Amino acid sequence: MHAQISTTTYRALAMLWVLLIALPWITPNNYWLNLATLWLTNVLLVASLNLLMGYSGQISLAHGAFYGIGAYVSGVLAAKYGVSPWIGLPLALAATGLVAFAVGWPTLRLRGHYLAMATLGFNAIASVLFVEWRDWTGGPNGLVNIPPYTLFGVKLDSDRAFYFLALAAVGVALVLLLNLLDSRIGRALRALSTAEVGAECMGVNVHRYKILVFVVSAMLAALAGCLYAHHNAFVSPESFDFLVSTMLVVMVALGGTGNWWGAFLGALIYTLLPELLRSFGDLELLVYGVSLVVVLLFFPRGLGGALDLLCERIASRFRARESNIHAAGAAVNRARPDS
Amino acid sequence: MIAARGVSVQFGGLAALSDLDFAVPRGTVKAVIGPNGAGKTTLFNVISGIQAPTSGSVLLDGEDITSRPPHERVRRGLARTFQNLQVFSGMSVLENVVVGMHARLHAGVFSALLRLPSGRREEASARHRARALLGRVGLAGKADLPVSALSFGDLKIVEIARALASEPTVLLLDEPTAGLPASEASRVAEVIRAINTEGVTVLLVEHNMRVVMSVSHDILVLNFGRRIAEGDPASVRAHPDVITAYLGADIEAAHCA
Repeated sequence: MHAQISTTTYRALAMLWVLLIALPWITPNNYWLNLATLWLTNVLLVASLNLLMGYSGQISLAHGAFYGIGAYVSGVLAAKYGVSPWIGLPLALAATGLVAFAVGWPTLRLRGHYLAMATLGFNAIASVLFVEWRDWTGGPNGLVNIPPYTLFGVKLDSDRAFYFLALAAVGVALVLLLNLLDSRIGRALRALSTAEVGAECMGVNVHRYKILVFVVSAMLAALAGCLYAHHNAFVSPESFDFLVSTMLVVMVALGGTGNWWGAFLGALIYTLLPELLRSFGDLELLVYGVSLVVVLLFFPRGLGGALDLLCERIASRFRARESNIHAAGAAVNRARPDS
Repeated sequence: MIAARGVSVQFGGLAALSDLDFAVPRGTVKAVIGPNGAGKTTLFNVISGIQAPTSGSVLLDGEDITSRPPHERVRRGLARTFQNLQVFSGMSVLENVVVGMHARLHAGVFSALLRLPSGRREEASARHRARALLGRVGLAGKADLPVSALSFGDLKIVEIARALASEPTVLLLDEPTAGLPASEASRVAEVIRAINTEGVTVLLVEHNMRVVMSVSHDILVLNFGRRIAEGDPASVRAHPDVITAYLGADIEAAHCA
């Protein structure tokens, strides 16, 4: 279920990032660059939820809300109080972490899907607060005039500058995540998600690790929220409602739960599908539903799992061919009387 | 030393264990035997903390650990294996054993996130020790295989190695030779003796009488959640209640007649 984290994973990530650095010079226009930026923040969102779903076996139906808390905390502080987004970022992460802790602490003690139920309710509450705390959030009309990030006095408000900021931020977050997974803690998480009782009897504090993973996961979503708010300069409640949370769960499953590269694929679909289906209007939802059913029917381990399978097939065919060549070579050598 | 004082477990109207008292002195091997449903696995679950007893207490080295969660018991030196296996699928054999060291390793969240050198060194030495441990139980050649590639018998031994990785003073083995061919069963018996010679106290649930008789200093016989006999192998074997429980009253009656 879990793709093995190894030096290869780090290398592949580094290579992908090198390619992505070149992207602004390759894309024909800023439309594609903005899509790439959106994809990067979506990778962070899907990866954050994938951490929770793949490594603790829990489901959060409030990742849209955590994304929103990150966006609103940093956005409100900057737009209404003139707080630098760089200071707003750690405050937003801390606030989201605390909220996640408060939601997770009582529910993660229980075995079963109580977190899913608690977060389902929590997302509804958060959505109401985003609308009703009008003085801060701007209510249903949204929060306007969110300033961009600045670096050495330069506003990062051009599409290209923000793309690089997102690339750096998401890259750092993903490396930290890989580090976490490739450690004593990551191993304990993989253990508890495959055999909870076994992990507990090996000394893993299951309750503590489940909360840890939930809090970290919510904080990563909040980071995506901060990036989104200061890029878009405007946020409104419907960007963080229950539908967004549900979509994220769908994207994790589509990409492959617990599959590292699955998050990249899930985020790709999440980013591109609305663009492709824009002309179909409300049919969008139907296509989402059908594609989920089809993928999970044929690739129960998601697109990431299908990709793994494909790589494995190619590798084994390659090996088979190589050993054939060796065998043929040996046969030729044997047949040659003078050798 | 591990001990139970007046332990009872009630599942609705069913008494899985009734007022059970026993102790395993430090450095000895005690086997728990009894027919299916006698409460052996329930007893293990109570001792390892998965199942809270309805009443009574569990003592580890004289300290009451009844209300301690399983992971804290591991820290205090208690380890166990499972009758139906609790291996971590999707991991290599080596990684499974390293999970067993969890309570003895220290790298925390920040060390992990930042990939600190101290944490990496700890990881490397843990892997090294895990490899050595697998060598001791005869699985050195299979360390890097995924657990899914191993036979049931090998997995039983992986579980023993994983439990040993937590450096226990008391080891609970739940049917370590069940489902194994005779040759492998005797290999497990050897491993148990070796573990015990190193000073580890062992409590063992086992159906294979050859293994029970050859490794244990002491045998506790349960039936319907109650102790029906306890003592050294020879006296337990001759105990009339044990013969009744295992062979049935009729045979005993016939024997006496």
